[in-house]
Amino acid sequence: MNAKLATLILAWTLCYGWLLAAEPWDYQHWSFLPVKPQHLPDVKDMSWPRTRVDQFILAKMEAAGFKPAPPADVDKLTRRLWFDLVGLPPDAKSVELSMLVEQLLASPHFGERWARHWLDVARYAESSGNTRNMAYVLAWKYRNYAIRAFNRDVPFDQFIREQIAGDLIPASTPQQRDEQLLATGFLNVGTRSLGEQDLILYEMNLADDLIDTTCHAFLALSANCARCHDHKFDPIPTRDYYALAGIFRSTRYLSGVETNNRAESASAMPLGPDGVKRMTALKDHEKRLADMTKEYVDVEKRRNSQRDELVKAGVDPVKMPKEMPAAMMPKVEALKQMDKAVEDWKAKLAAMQKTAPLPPATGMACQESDKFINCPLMDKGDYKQPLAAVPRGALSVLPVKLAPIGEKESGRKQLADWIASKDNPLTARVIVNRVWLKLMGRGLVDTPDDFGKLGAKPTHPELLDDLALRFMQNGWSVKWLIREITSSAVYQQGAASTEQGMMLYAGRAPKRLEAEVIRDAMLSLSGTLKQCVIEGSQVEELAKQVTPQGRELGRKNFLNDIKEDLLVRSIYLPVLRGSQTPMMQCFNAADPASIVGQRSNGIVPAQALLLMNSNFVMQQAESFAKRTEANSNTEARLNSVWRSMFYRASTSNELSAMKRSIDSGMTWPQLCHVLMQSAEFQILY
Amino acid sequence: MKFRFNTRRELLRASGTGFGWMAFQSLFASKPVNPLAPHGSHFPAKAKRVIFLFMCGGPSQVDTFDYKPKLSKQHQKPVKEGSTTVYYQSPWQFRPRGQSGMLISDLLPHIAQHADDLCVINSMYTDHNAHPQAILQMNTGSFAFTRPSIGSWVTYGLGTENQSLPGFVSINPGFQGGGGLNYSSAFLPAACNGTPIGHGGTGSESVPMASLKDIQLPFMKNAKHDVATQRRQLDLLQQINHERLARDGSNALVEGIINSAELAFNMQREMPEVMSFKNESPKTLEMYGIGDGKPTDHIGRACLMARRFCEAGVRFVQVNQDFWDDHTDIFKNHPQHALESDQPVGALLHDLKQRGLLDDTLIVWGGEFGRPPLLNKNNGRDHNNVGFTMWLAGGGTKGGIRYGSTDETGTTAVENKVHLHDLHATMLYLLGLDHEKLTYRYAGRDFRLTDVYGKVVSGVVA
Repeated sequence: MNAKLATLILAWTLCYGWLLAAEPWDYQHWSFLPVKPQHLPDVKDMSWPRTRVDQFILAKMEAAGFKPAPPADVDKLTRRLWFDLVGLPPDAKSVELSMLVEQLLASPHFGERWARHWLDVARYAESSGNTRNMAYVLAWKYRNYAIRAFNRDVPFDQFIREQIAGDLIPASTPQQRDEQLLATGFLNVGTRSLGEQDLILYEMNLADDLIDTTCHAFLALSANCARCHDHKFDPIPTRDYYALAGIFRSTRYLSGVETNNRAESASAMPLGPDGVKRMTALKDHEKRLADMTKEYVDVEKRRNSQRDELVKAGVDPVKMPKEMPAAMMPKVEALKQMDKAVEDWKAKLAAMQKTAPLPPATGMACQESDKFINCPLMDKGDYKQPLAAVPRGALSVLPVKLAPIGEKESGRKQLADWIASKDNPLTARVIVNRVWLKLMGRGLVDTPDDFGKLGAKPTHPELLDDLALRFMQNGWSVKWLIREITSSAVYQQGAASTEQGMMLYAGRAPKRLEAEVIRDAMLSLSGTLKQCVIEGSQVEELAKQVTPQGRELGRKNFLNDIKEDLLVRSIYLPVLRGSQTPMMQCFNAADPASIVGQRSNGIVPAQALLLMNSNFVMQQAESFAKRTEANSNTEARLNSVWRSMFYRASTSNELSAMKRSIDSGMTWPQLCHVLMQSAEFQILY
Repeated sequence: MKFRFNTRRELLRASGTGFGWMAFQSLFASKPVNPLAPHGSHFPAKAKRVIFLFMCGGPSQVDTFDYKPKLSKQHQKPVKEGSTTVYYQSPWQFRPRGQSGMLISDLLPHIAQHADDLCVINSMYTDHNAHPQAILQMNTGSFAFTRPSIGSWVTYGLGTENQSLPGFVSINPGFQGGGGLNYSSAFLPAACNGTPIGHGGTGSESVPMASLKDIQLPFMKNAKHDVATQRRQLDLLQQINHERLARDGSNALVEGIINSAELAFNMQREMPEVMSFKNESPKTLEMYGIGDGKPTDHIGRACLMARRFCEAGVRFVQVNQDFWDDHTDIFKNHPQHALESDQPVGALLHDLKQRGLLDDTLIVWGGEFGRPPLLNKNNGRDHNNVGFTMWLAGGGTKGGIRYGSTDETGTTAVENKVHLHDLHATMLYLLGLDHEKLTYRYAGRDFRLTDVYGKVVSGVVA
């Protein structure tokens, strides 16, 4: 009896232990299954839905016994659309809502707003981080590429292909070629261990950043735990990791970063129709100049030794005493000739330097390497313990075929096609969820960067699939998707009345505006915001004053004087790893250490301190106050200030509180400063 | 919501499909949380706060805390035939100190007076032999990837006791080894980021150390308005905010902003007060070696500031001294670095003890690695990551003991080896945190300070 029980317990323990330890991979996990067409669910209240989106949302709401909130008023909705679509407060002109959406989608500021969301995910930064934090002088060109791509509504599948393999896609014009090259900046703006002396480890770390970024950004999967062991929860074996590593190790990264430690990313990609030719001419010229300089140095050396000989013999070649031993004369003559030769060389060199061809424009970009590697599987991730090589490839769990990779191909092209395939069950779902999250405040999948087993399950799986499918059918157009979501009744609702209902989108949850938006709104109100695209970056400006190898953060004060008070939109501010500008840092801007699909929403006193004491903020308040001077009386001016700030009329309490302050001596700039610190200014209802 | 007492995995297992839990989590995810609010530890803590005295550059162990009499046998013998590098015994006299009789050299006479409080770990080792990597690993646990610094982890794990002050400050942080990455919160909430106070020099480069005298933090003072004006502004601000809150019914965002504005107002009063020495007696200043022109002035100020921060409720204070990297003329340069920080550190230990703070303040002293017992041709000692010394004091550590040892030349840790990850695990343990449970889920993975490594060194725990 006892033995029987013991056996039973033992068997049970073993079984359960195995279950816990092995956690068998779930190939049927929802996000690995194909995106399926959906039937519209039935709803009771047929009057509410305006779009398919609404029907899916309402069905869930009704099933749980909730009702939609009444629609938001026009002012509230106008403010919402402005901030959501272009990241700026509304201007005074009021237009009909559907017109407004089209206007905002067509605005050049649309790209500045939505590219910033993408840059969070692309862990965009202008320095390498890690132990040698070198400036990425050319990174801003990738930033501007992203802005242009969102403005032009580049189909998202194309956007993916360009960023992973833009250099390998045929281009019909030189401009298009440049654009595609700049897109591969995506693979160049990550963390690099430039201080690492070991080349293999350096390459493995670089590949790790790219596997991490690519898998998270497009597929919301974390593959990089498979560097050391099979993924514990998702079906990603180490083999897959090293298959991807081979692709990225067979790629050259032309980053324009020169360190004295490593040269492999020193050159940058030439741009422009004759960029390559001009770069070759420049290199040739540099080589000829170097050769000539060498010759010149030789001639000068010979001349100097001749002179030294004379000096040793007691003859001063400069003063040339009249009574000179005859034996010395030929030597003095020879020296004269050599002096002339040196001068001639000098002139030649100077002339040569003048004829230097203008360098072509350059960017950070990728090209195929000249060595194609099947990366060995590293035992427990230790690069010193290589096992058998793994053929280049992609993740094996997804039901998408990877085109065969040729011997002389990195496989980036195939990888890009594989990710951007309409058969890839993750890609469209992931981007649809990212866009939904930015507009609605919470993702349909609450973990935008993790669609794996440990991630959240979709709250509305049918809606997610319906949107993903229609997104692909509509040419992977992000603008279509935004139009689709913003025209829905669910987007246009007023405030939620219960927290539980909010989970099912019964009413809107207020959300905190991002660091960039708060700052841009201040500049916009003060009327000082430069409304143009900035072709360049402070990092590049400052780098010009330093030798390429000296472009390391902290060195010789380099980049210590990065400024946040430029009058440009925040997306154009410098982004440095480990050294964010104060306002971006304390208002939870994305840290480029890692990809950020959803920013943290912490509220800390440092934010209030900055708003309270920053000279920049006070200046904006002052300029803003000045702009409202024209109003005839206090009440009119207060109303005008209030409306510009919050795009609504003030309540009588608010008005009288402000009036009391002004009457008791508070200045207008001080009052505007108060409003810029207010909760409502930082919140989008 | 954070997964403080259980890992997410355990929770998921416990809740079956996990979906119910996810929904629950989301409900609260929309609420902003103050990541600095104090929260409980995993188990009763022995230490409430940390002062990490980071001796950047790497002090030599055989010249300070690792007495190696047998080195004399090989003294001045080449390390291998034909080499200009020779074994070299310490020129500094080691003496027994305190009741414990611990042997400490004359290089650090003030610290030596506290021998009975020191828990000296002679068997430290770390993974990298170059400064940048070793510094970053010392501060974040990883040299290859961007990870949160230990101060950020501790702040994340425990919150902070004084909401008017930052939870983590780093005084005089250097530029080496990734600069700001050494006090960065990486993917942890931004509020856990270290607040830098001043900065170190850049070694041979042209940036001098920032003076700590009258140093002020940015945004602590208003250039235009006096406090009375600010108070009037704040009053109007809060009226408007409360009006908004009343209209919203309940709104955690507005509530959070109302609170933070009030706290900020207090912070701009409190922070400069904590950083000011005007209420310190001349005797105290003297003890720390503070005074114009004194070699101890800089680190003295840093150490006194550290004590004041601790008293005021800051969780993690790091004092950085750079740069102990004496590849040349160590006989002249090591005494100079020692001179600059020995008296201030001694004073800090004494001061904390007399104020009853040493018991629950963990002091950690050491560099990113040590130096070999060799002398190169420039009369300097190079790098050594396979064996070096750090010491702990207070905060639930055993006083007056040496833990672990190096071989008889003082090169390689051999007995009771303590890896850097073990040190980190132990520091967390003393603070009541389980290094395997203090995780943060980011992009599909649970991250921890010690990655998949680290063992608590129970031999140093009292």
